[in-house]
Amino acid sequence: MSGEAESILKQRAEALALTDQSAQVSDHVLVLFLRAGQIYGIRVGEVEGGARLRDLSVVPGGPSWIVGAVQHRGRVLSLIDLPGFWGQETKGAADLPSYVVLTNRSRQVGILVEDLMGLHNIDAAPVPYEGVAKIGIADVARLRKRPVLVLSARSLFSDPRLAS
Amino acid sequence: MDDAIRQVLNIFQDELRENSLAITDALIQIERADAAGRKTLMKEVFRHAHTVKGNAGSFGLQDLEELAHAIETALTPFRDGQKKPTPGIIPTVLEALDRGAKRVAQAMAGNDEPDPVIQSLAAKLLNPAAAATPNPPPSAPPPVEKPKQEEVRTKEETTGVHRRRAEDEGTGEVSGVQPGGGGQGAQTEFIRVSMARLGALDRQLDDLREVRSALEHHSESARRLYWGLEATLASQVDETVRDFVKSLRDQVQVLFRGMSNDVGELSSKLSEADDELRGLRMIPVRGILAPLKRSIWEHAHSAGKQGRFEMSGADVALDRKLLEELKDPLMHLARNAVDHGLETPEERKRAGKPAEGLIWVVVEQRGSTVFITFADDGRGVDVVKVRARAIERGVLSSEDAAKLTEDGVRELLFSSGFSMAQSLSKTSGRGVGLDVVRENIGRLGGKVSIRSTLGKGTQFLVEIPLTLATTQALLVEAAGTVLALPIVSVTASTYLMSDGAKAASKVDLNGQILQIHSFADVLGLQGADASKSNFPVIVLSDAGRKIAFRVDRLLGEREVVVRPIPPELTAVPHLTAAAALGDGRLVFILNAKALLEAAGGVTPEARAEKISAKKRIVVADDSITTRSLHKQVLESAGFSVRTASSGEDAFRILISEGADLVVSDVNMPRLDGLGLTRKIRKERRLSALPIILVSSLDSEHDRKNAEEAGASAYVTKQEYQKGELLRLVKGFLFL
Repeated sequence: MSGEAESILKQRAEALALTDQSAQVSDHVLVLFLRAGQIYGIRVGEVEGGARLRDLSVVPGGPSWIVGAVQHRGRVLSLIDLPGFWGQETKGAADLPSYVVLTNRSRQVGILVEDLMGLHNIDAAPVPYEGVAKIGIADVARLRKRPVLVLSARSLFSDPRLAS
Repeated sequence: MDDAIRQVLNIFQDELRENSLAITDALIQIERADAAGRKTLMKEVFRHAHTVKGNAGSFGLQDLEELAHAIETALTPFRDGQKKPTPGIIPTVLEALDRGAKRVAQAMAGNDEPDPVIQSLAAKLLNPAAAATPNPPPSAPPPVEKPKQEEVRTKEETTGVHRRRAEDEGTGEVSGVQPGGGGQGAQTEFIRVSMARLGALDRQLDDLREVRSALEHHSESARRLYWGLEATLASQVDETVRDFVKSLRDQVQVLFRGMSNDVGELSSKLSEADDELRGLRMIPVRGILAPLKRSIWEHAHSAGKQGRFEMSGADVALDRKLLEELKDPLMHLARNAVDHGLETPEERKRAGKPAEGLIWVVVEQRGSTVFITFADDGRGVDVVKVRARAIERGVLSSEDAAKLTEDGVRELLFSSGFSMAQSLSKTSGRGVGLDVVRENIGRLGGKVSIRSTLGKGTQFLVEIPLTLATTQALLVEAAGTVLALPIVSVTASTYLMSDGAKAASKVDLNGQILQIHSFADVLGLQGADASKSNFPVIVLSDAGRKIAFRVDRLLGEREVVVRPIPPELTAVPHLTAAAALGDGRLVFILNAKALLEAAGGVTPEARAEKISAKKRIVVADDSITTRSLHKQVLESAGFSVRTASSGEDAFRILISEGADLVVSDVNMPRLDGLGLTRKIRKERRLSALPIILVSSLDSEHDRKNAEEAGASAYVTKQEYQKGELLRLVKGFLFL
């Protein structure tokens, strides 16, 4: 396609299209939450929303890391507990107060949180971390000297247990 | 590629699909039309080809533009309708249209390079010699896809929808015109709305339901406040505040009554909005039937046959999801009709039939069920040959085959692996067609049957519930969890009253004695109360198998709104979908077949087979002497035994090979018998496995530990010597 033709088409298309504001948000802004003594972060572009945990339904015969499911904006949303997902013993996950919805294209999953810490601008410089590497963790950032494990939706959904 | 350009290319892709469908439809009809008819149809072809040419040029897709031009050039000699297009042209044009769709997809992926295949097709169309030679139809080209709704926003419109006039719809028909709707040329304007928009609306309705739940909660709080104030007034209240409290009570009463009314009104409106939204998702079945026309035509031609497709009732609307699921089964039936139904023109002439075979579909809606009849006027099913083939393939013995009725013989055609084809073709012969059709339609909650008359034709009758959006379910509670069972899977439900302290373990269903299984145990739910001696029982069935399940409560039948479940939940074997209860809770809809398999359900015939096959027992004991002793005792009794020297080994064997029962020592290093039992109970597919623990320890405490771990029985060494182990094994295995 010629440059001129592309330019004309682009002008026409821009007149027709809406711009997506969300794509312009900084990559260093994370939604932070606390779970089992660890702070986790999710890039704001990968968070669809969150809610208080209400009306949790048990998944009969489901794996232990799927704590249950809820109706979230018209869809069935699985709620997972990160420590359980990584094979650690967890108790009381069903009593956690809220969840954050992690999204990647059409896939969504709810992550149970103990304490939602809100949006934070995070220092993106690499931070040494001696914990066990876990699937779904893309980065380690820092919040006032505490390590923040940054989740990646793409990485998490690449796990066969969550892949479509 | 710029998102804006991609959006516009999306629209072009959509329009190209409709243009292609219209051209295909017209070209197929041309073969049967007279001169006047051909002229009209050619006009349609040229109109749509011209549109494709123009749009392709706008996007700089020169190769596609030239291909459209080549189509026009090739068909120009036949434009006046006086002659039929030469045999080779139509298949080439159809192939060109398919390739055009791929070209646009390539452009959307950012590939601007001309497509050599398109250039070759254009050259073929422009070369009269090549066009005169009949080309073999393309092998199994992808059918022209169903209309996909895409949205575009224009400067003029702020609602985000794309308006098209009905006459511009790809079929060339003026569809949607209301009878008596305003005279000749009157058209109904349609609006295209993307599925994403409908999904967003659906989610917003859900948000409103949450608001309703919150309002209900507040209304309830106001009601309690009212009664609190009422109680206060009834007690000793200082006269100085009595009037104030009374006034407050009255105001609160008005408040909660008003809120109750509002909640009721909101519920009613939400329900109406739900119904409207469901209606929007309904699409005429024509969308999946129209492509069959081309498919049947091409398939028949490639098989040296002539086949025509007609449809009736194509305006019946079905849920979009249901339509997507029906596409494949109907395509199977179409190919089956060509391969096995239609005769060659010569055979048909000898039978006194027209050379061209007819395949037709009739769609009718009666109540909440849609009936689809898929029929042909071909050779019909030769029951004698099917019976013989069944014996030849070992599907049935001669004696069993002789007992089958003609209907029963025809039903064999739905068996997996059974085929009447003499040889394999691209689409038939492997016996994986009709069984898949039945399975797919079964998954939709429907059924398919066959009727046939030898020499006259065959009919497949498909019945399906109108929409997937709702279904009738029986709600039950087990271990505190509410679950839903499709009502079609529930054969019976009853309440068992025990005549003693011990709960009944079997139920009599019209003379058939069924073992009762714990629903909670089969599903791995914790907290089931097994102490009650009176409890409800439901009987589930699937393909002739029946199993009785004990539940804690029967909560009644209800029509539920079905929600699909995400991939991580589809991996859970018992789940098919979820349903939204009106109060916002989710309940999971269970798969009866998987439940029966988990509980070990078998048909009476398979049970007899299973009993005659050796039962497999895993024996776990760290003492080689004890292992050998158990093995000898059990093998003498006719069982097949695998031994393990540790709990870990036993578990590995169970996972990799399975078993029918486990006998385990309690005291073993690392993973002892109790640990092994707990581990087995946690493993979903082993959770119902009988486990007998054997130990020299004989205290109440030891037995209790075993019971708490989940063991089915506990045998001391003394009891073992009296034959108790063998008695228990036979009991658990129903021998």
